[in-house]
Amino acid sequence: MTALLSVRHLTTVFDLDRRSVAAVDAVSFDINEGETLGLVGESGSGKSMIALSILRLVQPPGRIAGGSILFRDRDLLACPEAEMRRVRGAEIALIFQEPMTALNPVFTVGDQIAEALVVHGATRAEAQARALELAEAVRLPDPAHCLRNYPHRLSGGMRQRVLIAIALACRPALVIADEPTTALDVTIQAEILDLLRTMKTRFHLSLLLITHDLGVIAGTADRVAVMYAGRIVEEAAVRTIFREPRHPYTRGLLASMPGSGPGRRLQAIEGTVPDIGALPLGCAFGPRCPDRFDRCGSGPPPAFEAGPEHQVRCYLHQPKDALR
Amino acid sequence: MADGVPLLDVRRLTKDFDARAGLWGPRRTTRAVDEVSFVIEEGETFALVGESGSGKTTTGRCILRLIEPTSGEVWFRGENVLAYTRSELRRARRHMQIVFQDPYSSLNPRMRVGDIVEEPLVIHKQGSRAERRERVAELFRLVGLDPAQLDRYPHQFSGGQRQRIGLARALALNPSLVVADEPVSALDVSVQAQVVNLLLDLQQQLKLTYLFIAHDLRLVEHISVRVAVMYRGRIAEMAPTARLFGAPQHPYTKALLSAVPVPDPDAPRVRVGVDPGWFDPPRPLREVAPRHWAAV
Repeated sequence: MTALLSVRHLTTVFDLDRRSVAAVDAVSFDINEGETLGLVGESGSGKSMIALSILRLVQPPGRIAGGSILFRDRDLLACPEAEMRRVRGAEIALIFQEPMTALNPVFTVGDQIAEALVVHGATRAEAQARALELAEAVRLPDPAHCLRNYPHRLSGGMRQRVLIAIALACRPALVIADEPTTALDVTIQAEILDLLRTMKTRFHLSLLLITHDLGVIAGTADRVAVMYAGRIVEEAAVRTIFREPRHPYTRGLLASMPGSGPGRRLQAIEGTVPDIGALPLGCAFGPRCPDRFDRCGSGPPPAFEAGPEHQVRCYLHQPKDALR
Repeated sequence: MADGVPLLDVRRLTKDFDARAGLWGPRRTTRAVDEVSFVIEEGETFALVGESGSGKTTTGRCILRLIEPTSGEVWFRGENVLAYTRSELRRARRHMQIVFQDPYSSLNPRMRVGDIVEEPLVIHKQGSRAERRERVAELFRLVGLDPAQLDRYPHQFSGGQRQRIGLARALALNPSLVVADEPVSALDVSVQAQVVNLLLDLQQQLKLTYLFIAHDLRLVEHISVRVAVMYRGRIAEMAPTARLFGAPQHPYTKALLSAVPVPDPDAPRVRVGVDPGWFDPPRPLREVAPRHWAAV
């Protein structure tokens, strides 16, 4: 498999009064053609900043401070803004979390789907016809009627279908979905996840699925990267993450879910997610880690191989011969 | 309970909201809660689950009379809460408290957290100032916070800590019933479990009864003794937890369970769609098995 997207050492910082803090700290990962990479993390872990960085939509005081983002053999961080505008939407599309606010209330749904096409060079008539096809593809009920409606007439689930139609309008190769179902009810969430899976196959998409929900990841992703405090702490195939998690944070997350262990008390991870401006020295998870030992304070752990295609940033997995 | 009177007995509770369609449109009545009845025994955790618009939150608020129900009865320890005068209601509120979903908006940002927790004691004229401060410190320790932080403001605490503060405030007057409205859904995954454990510990320690309102079925299965599933203002199914999850009878319950994302990549995924026709016309609940009711 060839990598469609290769992110290397991406660092995105926030400039504060006297210093900069890294929201994304030297993150590297690949997304292969036709693959779904699940990016899991809690609030403040930097997962949404990665999405914005890939599209170069980071707003001040945020700033991309280093690294490279190779997409179809060019570095998105080095190409001119005019070219980036062609990439956005036409080659890489973004689906937001909030279907209630991501649509413009004063334009009809049909106009908003068509606009995405017109911006990238289609005529009005072509765009209208294609909007109808897309509305059918994302299974909007009574598509012709739906397209003439304004967003406030649609339910949350239907709005999310419209956003997916807009994202697919220009046949992008990569779709980034940032918490696409978090604001939705569970039955609607299941429908939207089904739709994303179907669209992925039908349009040969690669998908970067960003979520905090391990249940969503389990049913949708091929590979998983777990983020904590701006870094990817573990990355592996989806089955490996759920069957043989190696990082104490990944293990803790899985164990803390209701129904994952016997007894009524849940297996909580102690403490709270650290503030990225005040990270502990060494491993950022160290202070909350049940398995910490003296080396954890020595510096941020590098990635160690825990198995084939399985990396983990934890000193527990440092090879023995490297200790001397 | 020994004398056979349940702690809470809700009968045919109904709440209508009036709304206009647009600024000059016709007045329309929406029935948010439609003849909901259930009983909660002392020491039990009873869960109301449902999706947005199912009426679960409105039901919780009507029971505490934070909003006034349109009709029905709410019996708390054998007394009709809806017949209370204002002063009787204020006295009864000591025994029935609520924990809100959003720890970011439910605490007054201009008050020190110690004063937030003390406020119910002041309103209900409990003890001297010194005794109240001692009680607040005790409540802080009870919910796992450091009493040295009493003089701080809410923004200086994380979401999980703020939810502990909200819980300390709710427990200040030694209530017997706590309505917990989505108490952990705004929290990070790794912090949710801490707060759930705290709720379980406090229940045991203080003999609390919970009305747990939530949309997360995995959590509800874990924490509650009995569950009622709501849809568009009505109870679709109500049963002991193991029964409801193991042998659901209502098609909506089955659809809801099939939609829950399972954290296992190899779990079979057979999804049942929701058909609003199941509820048209509305069917009464009937006992399909002992203590298991379904509107089928």
